[in-house]
Amino acid sequence: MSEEQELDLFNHFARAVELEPRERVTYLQDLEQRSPEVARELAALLASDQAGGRVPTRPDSSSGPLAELPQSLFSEHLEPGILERELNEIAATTTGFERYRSSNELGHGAMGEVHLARDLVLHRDLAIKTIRSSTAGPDSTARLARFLREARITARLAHPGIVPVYDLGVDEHGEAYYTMQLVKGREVASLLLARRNGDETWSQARLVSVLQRVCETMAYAHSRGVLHRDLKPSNVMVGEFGEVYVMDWGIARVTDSDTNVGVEPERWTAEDIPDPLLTREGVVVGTPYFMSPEQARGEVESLDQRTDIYAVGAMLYELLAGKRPYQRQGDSSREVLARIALGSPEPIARVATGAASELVAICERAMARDPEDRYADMNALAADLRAYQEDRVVRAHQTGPVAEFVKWTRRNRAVAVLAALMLITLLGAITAFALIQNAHARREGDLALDAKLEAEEAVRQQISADRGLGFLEDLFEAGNVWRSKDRDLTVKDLLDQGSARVVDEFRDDPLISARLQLTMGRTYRSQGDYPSAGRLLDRAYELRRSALGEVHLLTLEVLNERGLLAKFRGSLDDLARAEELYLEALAGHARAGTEGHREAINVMTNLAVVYMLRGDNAQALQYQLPAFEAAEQQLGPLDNKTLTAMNNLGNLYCVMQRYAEAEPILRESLNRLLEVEGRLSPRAPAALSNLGRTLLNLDAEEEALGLFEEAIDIGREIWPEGSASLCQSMRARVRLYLQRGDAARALPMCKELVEEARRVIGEEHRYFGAYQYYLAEAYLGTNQAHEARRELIELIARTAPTDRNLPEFRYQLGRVEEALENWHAADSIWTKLLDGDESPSDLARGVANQARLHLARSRIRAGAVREALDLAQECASKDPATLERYASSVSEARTTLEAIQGQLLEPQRQ
Amino acid sequence: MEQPKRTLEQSLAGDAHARHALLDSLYESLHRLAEGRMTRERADHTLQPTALVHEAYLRLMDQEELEGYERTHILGLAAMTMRRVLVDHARQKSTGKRDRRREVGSVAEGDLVRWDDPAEILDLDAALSELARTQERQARVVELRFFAGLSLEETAEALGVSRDTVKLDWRFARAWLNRKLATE
Repeated sequence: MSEEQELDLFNHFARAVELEPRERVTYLQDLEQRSPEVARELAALLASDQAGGRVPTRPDSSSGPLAELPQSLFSEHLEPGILERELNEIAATTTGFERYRSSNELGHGAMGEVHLARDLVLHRDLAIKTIRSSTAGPDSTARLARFLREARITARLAHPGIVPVYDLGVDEHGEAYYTMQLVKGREVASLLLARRNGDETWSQARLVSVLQRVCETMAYAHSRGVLHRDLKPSNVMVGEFGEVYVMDWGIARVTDSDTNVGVEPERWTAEDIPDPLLTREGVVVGTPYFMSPEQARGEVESLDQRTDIYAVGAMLYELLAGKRPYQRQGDSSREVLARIALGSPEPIARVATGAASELVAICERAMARDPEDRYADMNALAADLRAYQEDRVVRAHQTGPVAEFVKWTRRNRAVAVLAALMLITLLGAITAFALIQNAHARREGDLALDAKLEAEEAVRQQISADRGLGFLEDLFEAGNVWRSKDRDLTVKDLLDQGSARVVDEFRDDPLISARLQLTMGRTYRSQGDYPSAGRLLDRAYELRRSALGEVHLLTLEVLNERGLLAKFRGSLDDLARAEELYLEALAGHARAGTEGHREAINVMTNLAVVYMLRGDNAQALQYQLPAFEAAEQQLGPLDNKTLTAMNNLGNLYCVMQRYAEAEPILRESLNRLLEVEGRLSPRAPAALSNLGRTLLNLDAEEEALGLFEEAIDIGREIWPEGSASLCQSMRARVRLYLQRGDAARALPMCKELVEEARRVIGEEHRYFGAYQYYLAEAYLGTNQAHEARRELIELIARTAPTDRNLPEFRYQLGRVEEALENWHAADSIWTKLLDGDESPSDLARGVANQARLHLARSRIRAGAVREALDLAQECASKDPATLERYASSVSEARTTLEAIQGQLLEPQRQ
Repeated sequence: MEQPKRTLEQSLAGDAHARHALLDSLYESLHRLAEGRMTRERADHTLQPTALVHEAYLRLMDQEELEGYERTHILGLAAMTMRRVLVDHARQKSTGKRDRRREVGSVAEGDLVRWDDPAEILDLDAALSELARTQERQARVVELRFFAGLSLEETAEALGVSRDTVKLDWRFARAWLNRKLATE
């Protein structure tokens, strides 16, 4: 293959993996025609992709230095003699190691290795675990003892949640092994990791049900007098058919010799070690995060089943919070243990923003520091997890008829949402037929169609509609919507099934196919699955384009939708793409003569928003103003689109600092909104805040504050549990105090805002950055520069390099460094910000100029007056008229210049 | 040792000379950590590259009081360095040693590539270099994720591409490497 072909290979691969298997074959065949070599290579790669190999699917199962610590906790002191006798006894009765032929290694722990093996007698595959006792050392006897005990305890626990052990033996080299059922699956630890990395196949609901199964298994083990003592995500396996296994019973303890388990209790473990870390030589020390406080304190005598309950609670904590309890970067396990022993973890309610309150309550109760406050037994915990999943009242949470009623409505709301989705889809499809009909009529002019033709057309459309509706009904039937338990998966499942089928089933009816794909694409978008949305929208566009032509209203509608998707994706590249699509749509409307159409107005408003997001406000105005005027004329003053365009226009003026123009528009738009939708309109808080922001700049501070307070009041009424919009209103108020220079008043409000936002919208939300930024500013204003620095560093670390606010964040960090007199750090920030000169964003260029001014001052401080002079001159040379943000830096630069010139003159005077 | 703070900052600013100095000091620090880990205990020690890289990173940060926000950059350098340390180590081991499996102990949980097998590391390194000839970014993704344990997001940030691209890159590189390693 040529170099060029090699380069192409990735692109082909990228395309091919996106395709359905059948399409993939076609793709390969096509490629074969054009370049057989590349096709062969691609086929081999795709096969390798399917088959896997030595390079793991996930790069690393560890998180930081702790992961290197070996697996479990306690060491055992024992006399080697007993063990040797033990081994000899086993060897004498072993039928022979030849029975098993082992092959690939399956897994690998601190204790031993697990291999795939073939049972040559029963002709079946199984797993064989061997212990690496050949590496002699002080702990090898302990390991052997654990190994034997693990085999025996596991063998006697007969439960579907525990892997059956078949056979324990000693091989011809004198090494112990045991065989067990072969389980193919993944550890919960790796599922949690995959989930954190965005793998949505492992929903919270699925993992909660896994934990419930763990509880049921452990309830059984406890009933047999066995404590696990080392429950953690890496010790729970989920098989490929959903079966859940609790693994690694190596440090399990038998508490009650009267039970049916029959393992002679504690024969080898003369005693457990009081301090789990005291005897570290050769001892296995495990992940401590899931260890109960009493275990961390080394109170081994008093351990009971509630220790295992705590561990399940800790797993639930990790699932909800996305991190382990007590987890901090760079901790040694000793530090973790100390923290567990001494105090509580970060409260789950605070770290698990957005988790269901029932799950939070379950987690809190399971992890209670005092065992007395925990669930009394595993069955109780299992029951609560089950109740949560079935949407019944959770015991840990609340009881009584009111709670039951709340639960009932919620249960039915889930159904209601699905029903609504179905209805919307159906209505959407029907509206589309009406539109198509109109379009047909318009295209063919006013000439009356032949009556017979018309009738045929009507019948055809009826059939088309019936098929479309039938398809949907079928889909919902197959999706088993009403019976499915896993409700949060159902919508996506339906969409996945639907989008896979629709292409084939409506090959002969491109318009209905396009309509359905458009709806599904939109729904994918609203679910945040942008790649799928993009695929469907692209196909819908192609279908309509070839069926109706490029400039048809319906084709342009999809173009707008594609632009919207690009806008939602949000990177600068995506915004450029959105611009392209919108401009194309507008050109289409111009060609079709539909400029005044609702659809075209919509496109203009959207395009203006894209320009605003890119910081190109002048360009935004070019589209927003005509959009509003057209809407007002064509759609009337109270139309939804008119209100949107009007509000956006007012905001735009506000952002452009043309407050006098913004104020009447925003006031009018607020009045119209209240007229149409009433005081409790969900858009009212935003409209109030927008007007308030403008008034603030017109020195009507008191009125502005009143509006902000009103916005917050209304917001709290509409969304008692908080919302993004409410956060925005709180943000406006915070800004007011900061602008007044009243950082002391602002600080508690900023803290409240950040807290609330973390809970309601999460740190990843694009609004969140601004809130944290204000918090930093409030800290800075109250002389708490270290706190400000902490917030900003966290903020910057989380912000994408393409985020347009990043320069602003860095700028603020520069100010903080200056406040801390870290001149060197500040300088490197200023220098870096100068790159913004080349940026298309107004903001970045404005910030760059401000950074230049800071740099000039820093040069003065360093005595490099010449350099400072150059910088200040360059800074002052910018034209404030081209960019509002230049204004302050330019005027300040002029003052600085005078100061520098004064300094330069001084030595001459001397 | 020279002033590390200066070195790092210059490196961030793109000073090639300083970058070299930083890489050398990273190499030295990683090498020492790895050596220590490999000789400290005979029986149960592990050589877990990701952990080492992070540990080296933390030490570096500690002594230089650097802000966290260039973390991906440093980890990226550390990944390249770790690859060098491992490969050098593997080369030494593979010349004239006896039973190598007993020498170097265990493997990171869940990893299928045997870090303790010099031949395997050298194979992977060679394959990776070959991949880098035509698919540079994809090879870099493997390096970042494999040797520095960067998350999807961090890798995306370090390379200035989207998360989806990194996912796809990883998948491609994995298929490519597995094929390469299987046919050798």
